[in-house]
Amino acid sequence: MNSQMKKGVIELCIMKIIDLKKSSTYEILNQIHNLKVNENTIYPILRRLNKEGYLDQEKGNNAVGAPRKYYKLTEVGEKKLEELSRSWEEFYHSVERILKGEINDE
Amino acid sequence: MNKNEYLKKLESYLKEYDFDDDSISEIIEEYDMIIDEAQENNIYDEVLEERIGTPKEIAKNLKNTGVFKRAKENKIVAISPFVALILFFVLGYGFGYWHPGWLVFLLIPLTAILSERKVNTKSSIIELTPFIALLIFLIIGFSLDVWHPTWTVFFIIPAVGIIGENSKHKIFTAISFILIPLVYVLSYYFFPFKYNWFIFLLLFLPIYYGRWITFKVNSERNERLEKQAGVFLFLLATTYIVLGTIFGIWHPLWVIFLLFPMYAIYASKKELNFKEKIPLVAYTPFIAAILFFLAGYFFDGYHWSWLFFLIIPITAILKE
Repeated sequence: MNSQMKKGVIELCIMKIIDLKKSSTYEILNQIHNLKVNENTIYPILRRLNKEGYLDQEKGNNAVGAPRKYYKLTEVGEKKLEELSRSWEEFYHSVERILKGEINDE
Repeated sequence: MNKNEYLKKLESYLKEYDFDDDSISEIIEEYDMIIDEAQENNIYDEVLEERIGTPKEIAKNLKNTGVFKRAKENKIVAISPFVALILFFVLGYGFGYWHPGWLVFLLIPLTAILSERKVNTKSSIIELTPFIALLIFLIIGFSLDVWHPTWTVFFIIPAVGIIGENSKHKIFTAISFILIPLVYVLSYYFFPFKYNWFIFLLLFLPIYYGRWITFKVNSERNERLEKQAGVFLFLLATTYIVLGTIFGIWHPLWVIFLLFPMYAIYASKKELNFKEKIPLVAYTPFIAAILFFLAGYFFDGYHWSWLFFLIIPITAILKE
């Protein structure tokens, strides 16, 4: 998978993780860990999404240490996530059809 | 991994990449939290650094997400050539002071130095020293026509610079850089001798013991570059002394020393592995100064050679 495509998929995963649960950067890194991607590219993506208005940060209390900051989706972010999810599903099904040998005759 | 050390390193890399203060504190705060949270979850330090990346990698990856202070400062610095030009015309056409009115062009590097955020007064003085040395050199040179041995004033640059370093024998080195040139000047006037410049060979002692040539890339000393820079500076000084003694053209031969900051820009940018080419604009003040002095001296053209300074804004506009 080329790096541009990977970036798009990671962006989608990050937004989905945040949509499921308000998360700190560390929690997001933990979830993304299984994707075997370069984890030091995650925070730059978070910063960009935050700057572009798709994410917001809010302070939350932490029982053990210093207060944490958690990312949550903004309204624009939610719409963007829907759009990205739709594109991903279309792409995924198209690839799946080809891999199963379902090729259009036209 | 020591958290404070890690964050300090990250901060210095971000500064190196010219992030503005707000972006730096946001990023540092974020990594502070990531490390805290990882430690609370018993993630081993080595594993953590491998996962979140080294400070250098982080700064590099964040390059496209920050607000850069250079953008703000550049506005002031960008205006300075035009302000200098207007002042030069006023002094020239208004009062006939084309010379030494051209000195107003020194406002350009001065503005660049002053507009940078300084850590403290000590570092401001250190950064202003080359400028002060140049000013003393030019004033004495033009008013008394004593270019040689006035050039020895440039030794105050390493002498002051070494004070700000955590170098061994720094007091010894600083004093040597003042005393040895002073002994040379005294011997030049009171005991003239063809080879009295041999006195400068004594400078190798403080250079060797004090290791005053420090070349830092991303706040870390780079010994390979330091050696290269030392050899280059030595070659420049040797060329200056040899050609100056043979041909007696101390002025404008000193302009060869402007090749040193040009080399420093090239070497440090190359070391940072910037993919983009080194901006030509960074070199133009030095190129303009060299052309200005050469044309002024050899063609007696100080009244027109100032036009070379226009290549600074012109290059900036064309490159933008």
